[in-house]
Amino acid sequence: MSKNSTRIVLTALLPLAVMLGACNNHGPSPTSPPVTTNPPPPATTPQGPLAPVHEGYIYLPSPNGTGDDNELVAQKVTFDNPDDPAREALNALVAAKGTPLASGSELRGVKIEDGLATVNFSPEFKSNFHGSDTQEAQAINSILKTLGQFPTISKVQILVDNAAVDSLGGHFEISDPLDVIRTTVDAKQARVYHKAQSH
Amino acid sequence: MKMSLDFPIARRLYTYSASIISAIILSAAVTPAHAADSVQLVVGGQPVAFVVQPYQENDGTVFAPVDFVRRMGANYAPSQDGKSVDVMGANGAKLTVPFNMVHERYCVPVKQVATALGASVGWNDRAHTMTLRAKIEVVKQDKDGLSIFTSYPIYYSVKRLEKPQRIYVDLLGADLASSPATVPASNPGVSYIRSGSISYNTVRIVVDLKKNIGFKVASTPLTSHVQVAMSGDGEPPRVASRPQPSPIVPIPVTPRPLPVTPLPVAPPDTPQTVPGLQITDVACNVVSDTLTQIVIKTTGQGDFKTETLSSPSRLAFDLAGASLSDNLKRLVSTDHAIIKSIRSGIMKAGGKQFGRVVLDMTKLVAFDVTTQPSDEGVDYVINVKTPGGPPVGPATVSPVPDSTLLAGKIIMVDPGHGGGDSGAVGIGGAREKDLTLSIGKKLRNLLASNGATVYMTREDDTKPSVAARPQMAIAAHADYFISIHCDDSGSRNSHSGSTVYFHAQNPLCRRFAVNVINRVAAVSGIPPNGVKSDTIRFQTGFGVLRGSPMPAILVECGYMNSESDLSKLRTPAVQQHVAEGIVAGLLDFIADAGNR
Repeated sequence: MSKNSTRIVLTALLPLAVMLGACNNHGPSPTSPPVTTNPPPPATTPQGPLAPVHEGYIYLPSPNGTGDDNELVAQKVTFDNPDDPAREALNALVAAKGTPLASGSELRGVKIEDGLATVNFSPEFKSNFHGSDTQEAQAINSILKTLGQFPTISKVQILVDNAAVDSLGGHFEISDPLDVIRTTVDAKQARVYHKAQSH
Repeated sequence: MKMSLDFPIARRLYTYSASIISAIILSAAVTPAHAADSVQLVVGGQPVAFVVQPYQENDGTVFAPVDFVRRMGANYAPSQDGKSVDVMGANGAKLTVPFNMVHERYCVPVKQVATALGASVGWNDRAHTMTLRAKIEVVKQDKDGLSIFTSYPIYYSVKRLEKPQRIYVDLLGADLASSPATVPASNPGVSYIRSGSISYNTVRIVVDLKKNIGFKVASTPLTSHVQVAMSGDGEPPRVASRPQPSPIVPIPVTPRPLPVTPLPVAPPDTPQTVPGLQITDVACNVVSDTLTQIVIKTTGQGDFKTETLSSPSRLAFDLAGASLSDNLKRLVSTDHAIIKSIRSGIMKAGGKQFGRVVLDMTKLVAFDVTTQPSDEGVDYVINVKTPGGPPVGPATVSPVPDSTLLAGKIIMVDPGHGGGDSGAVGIGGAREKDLTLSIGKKLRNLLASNGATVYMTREDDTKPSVAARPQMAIAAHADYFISIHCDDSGSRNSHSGSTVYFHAQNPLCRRFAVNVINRVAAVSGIPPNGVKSDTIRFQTGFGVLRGSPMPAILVECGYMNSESDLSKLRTPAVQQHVAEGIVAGLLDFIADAGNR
C-alpha cells in the first residue's frame, strides 16, 4: 500500500468520525443518544491497521427493548489503551451495568485479521447464560454492534474457551462467523476506509 | 471365489424357482416381501428387473448381476485373468471384485460395489429390498443458477409452481445424507433454497423465488451434475418449460395523477455520479404486522436523503450520485396495504444527479432508514412502520377443519432448551425449559390422538443442540416442525403476549404462523403479538427454523417476565389450550389448498 498524504489524512479523520458520529438515531428505539459535534482532526499520524482510538461506544439493551431490529442503545466509553480499541470496547461491554452478557464472562482475547475478529470468551460466557431469545439476541447483537464501529472488522467469530459453540442459549447459531452490525455512520466510515485501503 | 461349476444343485434349483416366482411377482407389481429369500434391488427409485434375480448369501451379503452398475452410470468388463470383474464408475472409481457366475451372469456383492461407486446403500430386512441412492454432494446456487452434484448420475425432474413462486427439482433415487438442508441463495431473485427428502428415494430441492424468474434445464436427463439456469430478473431465458406469466403488470384501474417529482434519464456525461455507484435492486419485504422493509441494494455508499411528499402520498429516497443498473425494475407493484408501488428513476436537482426510489403510499407513516453492508456494496433499508391494527388473519370463529387431515402426517415437536440450558428464568425462578416440555408433551399427545405420527426432539430434561433438532425432523421425514419456547425481555411486566416466528421471508411458513397465532390467541387468554420473521431478531434467524426444510414455526407462548403471562403458562389448563390452538392452526394450514 502506498502511503500518500491524502490517505494519511483520510485515515486520520476516521477514528474521530467513529467516536463522534451520532450513531443510532435511525434505530427504532425511542431513546436516542445525544448528538455530538465533530472535533478538529488530530495532529499525529495514526499507527498500525487500527488507528489509536480514545473513545468509542458500547451497545446495551434499552430497558424496554424487545430485541427486534438490533435495537440497542449506544453508551460512550473511554478506552484506556487506545491502540487496542476492540478489546477495550468488549471489556467495557462485559463490565457495563445492564450488560446483556452473562455474569462472570471474561474476554480472553481478540484477534483481528483480514476483517475477521476472532473473539474468545471464558466458559462462563455460555455456562452462566440463561435467557430467552430476546436476551440471547441482545447479547450477541451487542457484541456485533460494538465491534461494528471499527471499520477494519467486517465479521466476528465468537469462541468460548477457544472453541466454536453451536449457540449461546439455544436459539441462534453462532458457530460460523457473523456479520457485524453497523449504524449508518459506521457503515459510511467502513465504506470510506475500505475504499481507501484498495488504492 | 466360487465358479459356476461349484454351484450346488440345490441352490441352482432354488435360483430357478426364486427367479420364476420373483419374475411373476415383479410383473404383477407386488413387492416380494412374502417370497422367502428373493431380494429386490431398487436403483434410481425404481425396482430393477433382472433375468437372474438378486439373492442373499448365508452371511447376508446380497449379490446381483453386475448389470445394475449401468443404472448408476458405470460400466463393467470381465478382468483379464477371468477371475473377477472390473467395474468403472462414472465418478472415476475403479474396482475389481470377485463374482459368482449364475446362469451366465456375473453376480457381484452389491453393497461393496455400490458403495465404491458412491451410493448410499439401504437394506430393508422385512421387505428384502436393497436400495441404492446417489448421495447429494453439493447444492450450489450462484448467479447463473442452481447446480446439484450427486455421486453418480441420476434422473431428475424440474417443475415450477405458483402461489408462491417456486421451482422444484426432484432427484430420483437420491439420498440427502449430510448435505446442507438450506443453502444460502446468492441470486437476487431467489429468496430461499430448501432441500428435503419427500420419500425414501426422492430428494426435493425447492427454490423459493421472490419474483417470476425464468429457468432452463441445462443438463442432460441422466447426469450427476444437475444444472438449472436461472436468469436474474423476470424475463425468461431462451427456453422455458411452460408459458411464463407476464412480468410485473402496472396497476391500478383508476388513473392516478403523475407525481410532481421529475424522473428524467441522466445524459451520459453527467458529472456528479460516483463512478459505478448504482442502485441494483429494490425489494419489498413484509417482516411483521408493524414493519415492512424496502431493501434498496446498491454497489456502494453515498449520501442519501429522504423526503415525504403529498398529493399523492409518497416517500422519496434519494441517493446522491447514483445511477440505476439496467436490471433494476423501474416499477414494482406490490399488494401491500400501504405501499402501492415502488418506482425508480434518476433525478437531477441543483446540478447534481440522484438515484431516486419513490414509494407510492396510501398514507404517510413513520419510517426510518438503516444501512447494512453487503457483498456488492451497501443496502439501504427503509423501515416502514405499518400500523399494527387488528390481528393478522380473519376472525377465528370459523370451525376447526376436520382432524382427519392429520392422519398420516409426521410432525416433529421441539420443546426448546433442556438439560444444562434452562432457557429464560422468569419471575419466581420459573424455567423456560420446564414450560416448553409440558406444553410440548400436551401438543404431542393431542396430535397423536388425532392420528398424526409425532416425534419430539426431547422427551425429558436433555439438551439436543440447535443444529440437531431440525436434523431429527429431516431424519424422521417430518412434514411439519413446531418449536415451543417462551420469551423474556428482562424488566418485569414490560412485555406480554404470544408471538409465532417463521423463517426469513418464507411465505408458506408465514401462512403457517398466521394460522397458528390466530387459533392460539382465541383460546389461550394470552394476547397475541402477531407473527414475525425470525430475522428481525438475528441475522441468520432461529437455528431450528433455518435448518428445517419442511414448514416450520417457533411459538413463543408468552413472556416469562410478565406476571399475567407466566401465571397462565404455568396452569395446565392454559397449556392444554395453547396446544389445542397450535393443533387447530396446523389443521387450518393443512386445509389450505396445496398444503396437504
